[in-house]
Amino acid sequence: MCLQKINMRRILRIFLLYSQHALEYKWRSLVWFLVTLSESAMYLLFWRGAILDNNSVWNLPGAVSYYLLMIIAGCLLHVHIEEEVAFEDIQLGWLSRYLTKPFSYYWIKFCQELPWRIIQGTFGVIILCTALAFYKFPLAKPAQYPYIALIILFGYLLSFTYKMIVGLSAFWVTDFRGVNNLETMISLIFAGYILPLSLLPGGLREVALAGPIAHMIYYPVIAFQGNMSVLGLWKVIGAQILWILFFLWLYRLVWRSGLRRFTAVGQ
Amino acid sequence: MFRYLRIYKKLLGLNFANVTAYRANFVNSIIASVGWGFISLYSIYLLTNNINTAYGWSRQEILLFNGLYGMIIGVFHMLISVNMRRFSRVIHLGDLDLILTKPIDSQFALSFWLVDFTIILRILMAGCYTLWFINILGIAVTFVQMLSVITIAFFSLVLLYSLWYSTLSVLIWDSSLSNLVLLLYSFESFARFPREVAQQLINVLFFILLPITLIINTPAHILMGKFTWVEIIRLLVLSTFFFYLSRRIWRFALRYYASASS
Repeated sequence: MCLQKINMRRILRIFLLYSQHALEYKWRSLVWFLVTLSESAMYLLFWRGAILDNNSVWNLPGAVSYYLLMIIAGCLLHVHIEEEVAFEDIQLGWLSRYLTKPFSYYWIKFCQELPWRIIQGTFGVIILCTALAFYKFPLAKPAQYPYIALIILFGYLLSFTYKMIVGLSAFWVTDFRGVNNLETMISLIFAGYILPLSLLPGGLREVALAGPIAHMIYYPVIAFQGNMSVLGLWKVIGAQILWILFFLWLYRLVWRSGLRRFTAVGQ
Repeated sequence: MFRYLRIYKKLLGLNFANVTAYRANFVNSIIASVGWGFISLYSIYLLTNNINTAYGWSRQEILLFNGLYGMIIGVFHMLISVNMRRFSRVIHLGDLDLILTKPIDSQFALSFWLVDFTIILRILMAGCYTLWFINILGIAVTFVQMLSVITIAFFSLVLLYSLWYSTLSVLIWDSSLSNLVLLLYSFESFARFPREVAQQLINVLFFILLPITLIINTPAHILMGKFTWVEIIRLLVLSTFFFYLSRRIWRFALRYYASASS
């Protein structure tokens, strides 16, 4: 128990150190936020035209809330740890220094990534609050907030574990850029950045809605929009837990077999 | 001028040799290029799947915009943006010293050193897609029209290049902002839609996005026979002005380059 307490304190210390680092590069965080903001704004403006032409299956308040929440989800829940894991830790061999530390590599990376997400998510929340002051659009009822908080938490854990596995694929591939490109392309459509997954054509929609990427980004947005019943929220939480368990199992498998291939002098 | 053309010809040869030297990388880059080309075209296809018109433009016309975007931006990515991606690294690691000591213009060396030949496939994909929608829309393209589109597309590329270069010159002051390139990719995406999309933004923001909206809209309007002389002149003037500005900004920024990690 005491050992656990010391470990927790150390983890908190690591988190605070990485927070300082993330705050030092706050302008970089702002640029990342602007990337997400400009993409969502572009799609929202496009939908506005379609809705004003009276031929869309969607309404304007729904589109506004969807893309605004997508900005927050993109900043807060879309983890970008994979490039560091693949390029710096594995391909350049920096992983060695983490292996000598008395902490799990997973949790060190977790502490490293979280401050960036919090800073960028905060920018998103500021935009949402500003928009709420000028415009009315549907959001979930306060009674649903505990469920939504759980969905966001599990969405982040799922996203982080998934991206760690993507990064660890560098143990096997010489050029990680291919895997990275493929993953980015899939995420672009299956996370719902371009349009809500419910508007995708038949087969693609079914695959996207059941997949893990939707449970990281899309469902937290839909839940916060207030478009789900309590039963629907529980279903999402259940599916997220199953996906997390599956990815944690996969992470252990990939980590153990990957370490056997690691040369520590670069890949 | 001829000297630079000779250097560029040499660079093309070196880049081609480089791309074929590492076969695994070559295959990887081809897959990525085709994949991104497909996603770029398919994403707008999906986006417009549930609509007939937006801002008065039909779905087919919007998809034609997207095809032209794929071609023009493809050329830009093949010849120019591939160089811009290394911009922050070159400055951050102090490698710019080596470029500054070369007996050629530093802006030329930073902008045109690399060529990504694998993007040719992406351009061809976008070309077929554009032809398909030209056919669907029943547009009869004349030789003069085609020549005008190519000429205007050249000025679009000059404008886009100048905007990118001017913005990335900021890296001289803060080279840690390597993700600025990704922001430019994002802003550039506005060009794939009709200008009316960006026009919805409040005036100040639209003024910033106006040059970007001209890049694809002007050649697309010529192709559809819906152009106005005002927008052509606007593109020509803005591309010349921004090119001049990019040179001035770069020279000004170089005064602050501290050699070791800026």
